[in-house]
Amino acid sequence: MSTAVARDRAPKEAAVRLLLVSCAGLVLLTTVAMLLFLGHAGLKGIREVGLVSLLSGVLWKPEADTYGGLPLIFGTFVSAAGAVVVGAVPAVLAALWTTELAPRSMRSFYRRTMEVAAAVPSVVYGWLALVYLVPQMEKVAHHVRGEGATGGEGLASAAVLLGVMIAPTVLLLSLDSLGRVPSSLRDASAALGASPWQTATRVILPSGWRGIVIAVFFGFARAAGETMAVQMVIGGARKLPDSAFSPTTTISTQIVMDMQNARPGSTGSNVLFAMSLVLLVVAVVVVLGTRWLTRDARTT
Amino acid sequence: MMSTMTHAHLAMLGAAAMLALGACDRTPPPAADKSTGDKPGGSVSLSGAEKAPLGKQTIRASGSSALQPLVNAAKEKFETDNRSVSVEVSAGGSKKGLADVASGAVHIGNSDIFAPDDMKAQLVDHKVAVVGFAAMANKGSFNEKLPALTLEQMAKVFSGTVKDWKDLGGAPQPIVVINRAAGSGTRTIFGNAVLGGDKFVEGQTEDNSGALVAKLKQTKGAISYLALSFKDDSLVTIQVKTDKGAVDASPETIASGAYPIWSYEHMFTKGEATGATKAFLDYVLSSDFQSRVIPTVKGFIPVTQMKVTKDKD
Repeated sequence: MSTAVARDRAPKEAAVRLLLVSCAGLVLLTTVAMLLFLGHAGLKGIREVGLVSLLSGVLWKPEADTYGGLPLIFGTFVSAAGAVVVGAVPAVLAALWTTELAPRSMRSFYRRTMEVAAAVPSVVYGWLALVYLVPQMEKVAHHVRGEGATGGEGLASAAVLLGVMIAPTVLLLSLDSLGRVPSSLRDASAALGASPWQTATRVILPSGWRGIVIAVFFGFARAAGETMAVQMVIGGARKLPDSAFSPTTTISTQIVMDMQNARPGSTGSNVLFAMSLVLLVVAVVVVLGTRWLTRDARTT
Repeated sequence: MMSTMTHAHLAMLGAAAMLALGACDRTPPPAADKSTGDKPGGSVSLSGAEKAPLGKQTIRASGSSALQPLVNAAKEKFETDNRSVSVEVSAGGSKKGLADVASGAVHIGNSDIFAPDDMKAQLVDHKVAVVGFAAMANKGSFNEKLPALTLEQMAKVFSGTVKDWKDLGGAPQPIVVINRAAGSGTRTIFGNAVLGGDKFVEGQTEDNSGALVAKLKQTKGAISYLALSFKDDSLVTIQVKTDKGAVDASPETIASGAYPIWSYEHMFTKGEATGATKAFLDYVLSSDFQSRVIPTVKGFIPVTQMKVTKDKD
């Protein structure tokens, strides 16, 4: 009834309302259509190849109708997990230092710098890594595994690159989360005689952990979905890697490599959608997992 | 998600192109004449009947990146002589060229490889040039005294059976095979000529020839395969050992048939070419372009010079 009154009073408002509703509807419709399309083609791909062989086969060779997705899934997970170790963990600790221990003048400077780093396009990261990181990684490989070890393109390079790429985002999200911890807690801790370090690790970190979990999972999801930069440094070998330094591939890398040869409607194309579906499932699991971990249970 | 967009995009592109084709190519296809391509030299222009009602026309071509430099060379001259026509060339791999021309998204599909059987019926092949391919390797003490290799030896290297340069007559150094990506015409040609199919050992993969050259220079012990247009003094280009001795890849040895790893460069049309597309292909096959322009473009051999032929890769 109140909406009817509002409409009478302001016809303009009704027009605006209609615009907003249709925009909201359009966004929802697009998303649903995309999911339906992806699900349709992806399930077709799964049916054509078989879920078991798609998830556990060890060789991906579309030109020979061989679709073993395990190397792609393994590469995606391991490079993203490596990125969390290399990038997200230090980023969280750096955030803790910035909010609690760093001199006040440093804080905003540090934050601005990280905002710039987070805004750099991924292709730039990839190109820099290809030129500067990969040759260094090759030296490390030779050092660790002998002169016969193959080049620097591979899992290790991808993990380090992804770590560098997600660190600024994880750091900024962690900063926000730690900044929301009420300062009354800090004051109380200080009043009890705790040092800043003790306050940071025993009061602030436990209070802000939800936001940090979200930041780290977000970093993982971003690393798992990153395409351009990873494709440039991971080497593109469509098999499981022999070592951390040998080339392999990821889901998104392989989609980019294969999509130009995959005629729409063919098995090759449907299987790529099936792998996209895997990527989507990973993202959904990450989101739900984060929700579950950080659910609001006021206990302990 | 990216693929979703691509497909929708392609479909739209295809629809647009079909409309364009329907509008432009109304003239009935003239009698096929693509066997020799010997046209009087000099400038080429469209006959009045074809030119008059159409206004500004665009010929779209996509596909092989190896063929792109040659098509660009032809485009420059052709556009100068035919002000009403513009030629748009994009790369993306031979298989994309074949798919695009079959779907009607482009007028000309550039390809290093013959059309696969399921497309043969609808596509018309125009063999415009020949390109040679060779195994090329990182340069180092391990292969400075390397003798020419037989095709069998190369097959063992690229399938992963021979793993060290010392087994080929070089000094001890592990061999690192770097591949081109699966859609690559170079990979298809080299695989068919040397391995009898795509039997490459799985390993590091580069999706274009330029990046591959950089990798070969950088990676110790690396070997791959490239079109001769990418031949480079800082790489070792491996000679092929035949019954008659070592053969270097050159326009002469390829034209005479002595050097075995080569392919035609194809420009495919869907059905017989008509209108501006036909005029463009006629120009590419003209004796002027074949004997005067092609030899100046690095790595290409005029198709008219070939003393040997083949009808599959």
